[in-house]
Amino acid sequence: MSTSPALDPTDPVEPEALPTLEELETRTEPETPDELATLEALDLPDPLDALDPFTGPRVAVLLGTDRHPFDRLVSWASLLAAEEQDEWLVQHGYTRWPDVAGTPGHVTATRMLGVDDLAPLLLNAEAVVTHGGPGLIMEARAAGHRPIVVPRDPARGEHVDRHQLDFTARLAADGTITLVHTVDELRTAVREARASGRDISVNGPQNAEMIARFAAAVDQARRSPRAPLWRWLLRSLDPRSLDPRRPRT
Amino acid sequence: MKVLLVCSSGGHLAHLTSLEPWWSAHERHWVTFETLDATTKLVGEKVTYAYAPTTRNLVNLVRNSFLAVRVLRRERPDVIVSTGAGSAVPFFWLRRLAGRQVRTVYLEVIDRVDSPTLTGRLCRPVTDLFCVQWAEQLRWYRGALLVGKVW
Repeated sequence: MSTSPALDPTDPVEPEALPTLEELETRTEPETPDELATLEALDLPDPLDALDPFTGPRVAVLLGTDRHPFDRLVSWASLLAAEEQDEWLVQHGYTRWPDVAGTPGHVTATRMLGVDDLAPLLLNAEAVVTHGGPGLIMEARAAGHRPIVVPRDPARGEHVDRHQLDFTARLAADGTITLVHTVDELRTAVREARASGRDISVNGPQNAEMIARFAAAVDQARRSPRAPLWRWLLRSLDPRSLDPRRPRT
Repeated sequence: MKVLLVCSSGGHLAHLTSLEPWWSAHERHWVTFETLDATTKLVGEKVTYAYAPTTRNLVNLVRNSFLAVRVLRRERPDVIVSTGAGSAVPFFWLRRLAGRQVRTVYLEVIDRVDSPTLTGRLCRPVTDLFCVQWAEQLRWYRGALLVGKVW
């Protein structure tokens, strides 16, 4: 209890006589009604609002910048999003969005996203679904997600060749991603991802070692003589350097 | 050290932006495509936009070759770094326009493990440092260095 003259309990309470900082730091009583009224009149923003995890879409479905259509994933996303009430965002790129007029209000369909929209989207979303492109998988992982991936299938005209299928099979084998092949698998995977959420300790690519190795190699290359012309000629004339199927020793 | 970073937008650009702890310490110039992801990621960076698409596109290969002549002579980098795709080819083959001691560095993309890329094969003869991310990629590129994954 303060005993300074300004807060003498026998005096009438004056709204201007708010406690000093030192008094605030040591006092144990709650604010008086006048102090509360003053604080309310100031209308300060609540800093916890900025940390509200429930802003923005809960699920992000990202198809990237590839020019092949990927109607399969877009139709699955549109179906699953309509089953839920929470916000979904589908970045459909060069694929047509199936039913523009019938899109529910909680589903946002957009063609492309800049980095200023993608970054907060990934930080706020509970689950991220992507096609098999390394860029988006990388971005999702850098935001602490284990992305749910539907690779593009060349047999359905979704991509130029099967490298997304091969690449994502490897990543699924070492647990980097969750690979799904049907709409039911996608539904289950999204539910599970939302239940566990992202790893908030991850913020950016975890590649410090790789960068150190790369930087050292570049410095070494600068100090070393450049590759001489005769070695270049030998290498480019060697038919083995052009045949990818021949195994190397 | 001045670095010239050459790449398509999308995943190729994402590979190079993930190397920020390395290139942010050096003077640099970028050559990429004018797409939404590139323009928003490279705000504040020095960029020259190349002609797209480059996949099996001879017209843009010719245009990008003229572009490479201009950019290499103007920027005169010490190191040219690329992850592909097609826009890298003229920059690597015309590298000496940047100066006789320029070095070329190619980083193979993370999603081509079971086969080499066309750009990787085209650039290999004129690459001083060829880096791969998976051990399995070493078999496609003689003399390559395994640096590990960009993520």
